[in-house]
Amino acid sequence: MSRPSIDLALRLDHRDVVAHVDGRALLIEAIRDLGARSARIGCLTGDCGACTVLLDGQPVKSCLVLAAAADGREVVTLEGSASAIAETVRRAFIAKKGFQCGYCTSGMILVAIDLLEAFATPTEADIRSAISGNLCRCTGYDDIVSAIADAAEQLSAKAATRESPEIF
Amino acid sequence: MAIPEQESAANGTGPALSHAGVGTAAWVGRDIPRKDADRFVLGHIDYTADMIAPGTLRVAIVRSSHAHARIGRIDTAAASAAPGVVAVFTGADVRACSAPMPTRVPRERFPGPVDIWCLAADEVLYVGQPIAAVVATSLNDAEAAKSLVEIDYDMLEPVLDAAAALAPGGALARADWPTNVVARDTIRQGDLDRAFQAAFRTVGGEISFGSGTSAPMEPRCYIADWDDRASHLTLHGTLQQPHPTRWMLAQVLGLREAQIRVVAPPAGGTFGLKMVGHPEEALVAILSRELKRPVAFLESREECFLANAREQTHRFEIAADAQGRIIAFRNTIVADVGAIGAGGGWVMAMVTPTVFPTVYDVPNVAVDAVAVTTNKPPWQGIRGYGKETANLVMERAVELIAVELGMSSIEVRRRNLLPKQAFPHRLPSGLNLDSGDYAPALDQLLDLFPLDEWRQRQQDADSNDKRIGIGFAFDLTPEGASFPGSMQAGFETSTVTVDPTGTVRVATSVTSPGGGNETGIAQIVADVFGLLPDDVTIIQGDTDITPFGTGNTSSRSLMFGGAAAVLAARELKSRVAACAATLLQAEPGELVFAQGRICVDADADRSVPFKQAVSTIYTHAYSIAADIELPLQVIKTYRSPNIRHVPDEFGRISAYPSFPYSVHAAAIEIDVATAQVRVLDYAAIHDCGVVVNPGLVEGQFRGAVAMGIGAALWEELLYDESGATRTNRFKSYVLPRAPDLPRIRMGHRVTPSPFQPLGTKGAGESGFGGAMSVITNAIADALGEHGRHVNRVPFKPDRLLPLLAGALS
Repeated sequence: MSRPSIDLALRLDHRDVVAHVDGRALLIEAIRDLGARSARIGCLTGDCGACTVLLDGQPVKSCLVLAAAADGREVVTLEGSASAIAETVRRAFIAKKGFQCGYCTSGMILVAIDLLEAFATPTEADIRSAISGNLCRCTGYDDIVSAIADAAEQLSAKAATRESPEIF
Repeated sequence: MAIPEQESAANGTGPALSHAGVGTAAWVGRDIPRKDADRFVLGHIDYTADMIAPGTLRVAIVRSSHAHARIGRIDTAAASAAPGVVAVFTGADVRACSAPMPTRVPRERFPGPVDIWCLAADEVLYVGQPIAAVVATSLNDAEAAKSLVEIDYDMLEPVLDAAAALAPGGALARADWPTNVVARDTIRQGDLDRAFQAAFRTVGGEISFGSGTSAPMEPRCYIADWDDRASHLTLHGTLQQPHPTRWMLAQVLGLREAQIRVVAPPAGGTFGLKMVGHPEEALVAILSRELKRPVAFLESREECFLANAREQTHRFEIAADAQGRIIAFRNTIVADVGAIGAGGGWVMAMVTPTVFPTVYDVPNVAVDAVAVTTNKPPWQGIRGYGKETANLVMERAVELIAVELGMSSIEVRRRNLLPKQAFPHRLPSGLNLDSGDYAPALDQLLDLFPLDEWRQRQQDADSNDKRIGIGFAFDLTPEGASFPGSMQAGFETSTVTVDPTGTVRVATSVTSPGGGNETGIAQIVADVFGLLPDDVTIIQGDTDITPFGTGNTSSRSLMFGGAAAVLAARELKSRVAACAATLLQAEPGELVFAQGRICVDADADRSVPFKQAVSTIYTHAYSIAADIELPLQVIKTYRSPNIRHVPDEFGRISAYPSFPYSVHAAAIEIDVATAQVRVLDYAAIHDCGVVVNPGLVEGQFRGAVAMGIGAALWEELLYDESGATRTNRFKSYVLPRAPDLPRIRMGHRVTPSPFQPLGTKGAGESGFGGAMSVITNAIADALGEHGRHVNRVPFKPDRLLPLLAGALS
């Protein structure tokens, strides 16, 4: 009986973790086994985006990454995502009903945060493009797009308030 | 917290809840956030797969690689010896320790024997049917050992389409059945021959539908935990119908219901897929009892694409008089329902014929339907549930007759829509339409959709490069299915409890797959007691603590589960009122429950907090509350007065109580070179009666529209010549993505149901068929004169290119 296994050390949601995992394991499988269950398994073929996490700050579909490849790196899931932008996006998803069953929500919110960190004033087309790798079967996307647009507006309004003394 | 005044939630004919009589409608009609919304956006919801505990055995399923064969020898020795493998089970093993799965409709309704085992025991009926189960300590080990199971097959001739199934003397899809015909229906109203002879214009056509699937984001998952010392089974699963699943397991395992607890955690969408009757529901339970360890099955996405549905062909003819009145419609439907399993998916084929002639007043109607079994995977429930194809065929027929009449199809619709005063209205199938207000909905749609602008853009477009098409379609969606003799018996039950601190608990038989019915039920119950929705806890999906009912199907949750909760809450309210009347020295009839207080109607200063009245009942049971019935818990079942299982004079029953409808308009653009279709604009008016939470209804309606657009344009299950599913990932079965869809503009119309205590109709499924239909009509419109040749849905490029070539020539 020779099953390849590896030792994995990574930073997961701001905690250092070590694990002994099956060498065949995907990153999504490894982090879920480590308790990071908000990353969901929807297809394991990179199509649905439910398993989206941030790997060294970049959104990735964690079913397309071998667990072994994440050794020594930092993984943040929705549960570990905490910033002013993240909080604004979460509130907007609640206010605009940007989820129904919630299964795609972890991926959608992480992608939205990534978009708004890079780009404060996205158009509707920008938002639709940003979430194009994430499937939702419940909403028809409109409420998700509205939530992200709403978050962008709120963040811009806050930024404008902060900047206003310099403008006037 | 102050309770704001009720806002007007909807345009339309009536104030929300005008006749509902549940007290102050502070919350019904309001777009409040979902219960537990924080947990969703924090990632704190646990779905079934999140509950697989460490140490749970995992199952990988060896599935048939042939469409039709007898199973010979199965050699499990090598697989059993593989790393991590604990056991390998075959159909013979299952047969030795369990009973067949009960079918969702009674077995005597089938033309031959239906002993359905969760692992095929003798004959395999489709590619993908479970044959053996490899149980291992990890899923990877179980999967790795699958290829070591050796199966000898004796080939039988497969039946892979409806034509072959109906060919005289042809092969049989089930060796022990005398026929491939599973069911027939014949619906007649009026004199068809005379009407067609007298007609001013007639036209006919054929439309076939490819297979589709529901593809929720969360695949299926079941976890069985048999406690051998207590002789008790707990099953957690992706289940819309926990009580029917318990019923099924009791029979398979030979247990009493009391020995089984079925739990349905939050589901990641279902759209019909997760109804009772999948083989793996029974399989994990059997394995856990035999191995005395917890066992989990987690469906792969590839396995999820084995859920088949919708493949059917319609041949129809429609007749009109010189005034544009549709005087006759006839249709013959042949549906290929795949193999028959324990589930009820194939029943969808028998729902389709009952929906004609949808929203139109047609005096002469004939519909003949036949469902045939083949060696393709079984149908599983899918949004639309057969109603979508009826609507699409009817809407095509209206378009075709409009062309023959030289009239606009909008005008033809206007002249034939059932008027508001015609309700209740009996369809030829016996279904009794509760209410509707169709023509004004069409007017409302034309306010929302800039038709003239789109007609101009259509004219201006270069039709050799891009073609613009504009479509309209009505959609009638019968909801609240209640089939006699089946485990879709059509009633739901809620237990309402007022706890000592004055909070309220509703345990209901309806489950929530993500649409938010728990929030809606909290709103309607909060209104009964004058409390906040946050004061009302909804408990669902656990057979130990929720009463019996069908679960979540056919948009029944608020309509049935909500109604049962309101009936129970009203009775409890009267008990609390009796106590408050004593405390306030008033008559119970004078009391108003609002904003957490009970006050005397004419004298607002005389009031008592709701919590205090409740506390008094709990703490003064021998004095002040001596005459108040305890516990403060009432269980009520709701049965719709608009369901009739006793056949009428024509021998027909009425199995659906509620008829939401919608009307849709869309503008699409076809790239002539590539046959890619883009949806440019979309608008719809939806009427589901009284709207409890507009945001929830709108979100589900938009989701239904998106799914309908996908089903019209991109989504199709394809099978190879051996009967294997070729489209087994999201790369080949293509769901709509965010950039593929326009913003869906919608409006409401409110025509309360006269049969339901709150005036609500089903919502959630409604809109799907309208979207399929409107896209089809828009594509036909883009093809101009050649549009009459549209005869196959979905419109994938390979089918659309020849139509475009015809339109250009």
